[in-house]
Amino acid sequence: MVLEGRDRETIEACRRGDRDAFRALFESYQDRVYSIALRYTGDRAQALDIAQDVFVKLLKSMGGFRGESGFETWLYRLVVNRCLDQRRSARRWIALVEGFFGRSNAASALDDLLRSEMRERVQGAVAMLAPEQRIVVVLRYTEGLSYDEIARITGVSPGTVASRLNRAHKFLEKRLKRL
Amino acid sequence: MDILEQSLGRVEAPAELWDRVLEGRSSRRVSAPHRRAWIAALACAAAAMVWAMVNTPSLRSDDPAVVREWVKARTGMDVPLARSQSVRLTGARVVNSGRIELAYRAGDRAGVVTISRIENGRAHWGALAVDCQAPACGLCHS
Repeated sequence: MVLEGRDRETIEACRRGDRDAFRALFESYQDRVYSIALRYTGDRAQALDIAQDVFVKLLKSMGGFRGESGFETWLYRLVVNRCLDQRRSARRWIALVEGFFGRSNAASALDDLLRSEMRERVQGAVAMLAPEQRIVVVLRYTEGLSYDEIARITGVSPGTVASRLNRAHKFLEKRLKRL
Repeated sequence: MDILEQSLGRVEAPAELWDRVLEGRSSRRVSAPHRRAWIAALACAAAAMVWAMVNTPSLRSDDPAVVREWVKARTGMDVPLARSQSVRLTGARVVNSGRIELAYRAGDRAGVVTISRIENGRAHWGALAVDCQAPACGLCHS
């Protein structure tokens, strides 16, 4: 997660209040931020709220970014903290067909249906995980981050990340063994 | 855990996200449909309050005879009000056909006494039930 020169310049411009630079930064990271929020909450409206809050906070606090931890780690932390702040009572896992079908190259409607059902069941099972396990699963499987990267973002040791993932895997295996 | 990678993959952010970031609205802001529902509910509540105020007859008077007639005309209740040295009537309000409130002053204290109709077996005016507070007794009893 090392910043390339272009990103570095963009971030510097953002810190100086350059709106065009912020738009460029937004374009680079919007899918990541939204995807984490969507996979965590399972709800499009809540994911939009989270992503919006994260970018608004980012815009306001760019001046406070000192580059010690790397921009991506810093941004991921904003997203993770905002996700974990989301009230549990507001959790709603609904079918998330949109967004998937656009990417699917399934040959038949039956394939699409099966894939859709599988995703719903997976997301339903993920929704039952404890928040600290769920966010680790999302960072691992939505973003493909390493244990070390997840540990830096969530503020726990890599061992704790491994332990949470392990427990999450066992739970999900039980829930999804028929798939 | 391929199934997790397949099911939890990255998706495209909706196009509206940028507009929402520019607006900088709070996520807890009430949505437009909810806002309209709240406004309608508040308007109904305000209208109900105004209706209740307009349609709840009340009278400001310190004349027991005037108040007695006014109450009798609106509820059929003949409350034997009388002038008193210790307590002064200041007004009356009809709560409903079987209940009125009399406002009074006793020295520097203001109070309200509720008088309810109790129907007897013949469905006529039979008795008064008074939430008797010591000064208010003087409205009817010497």
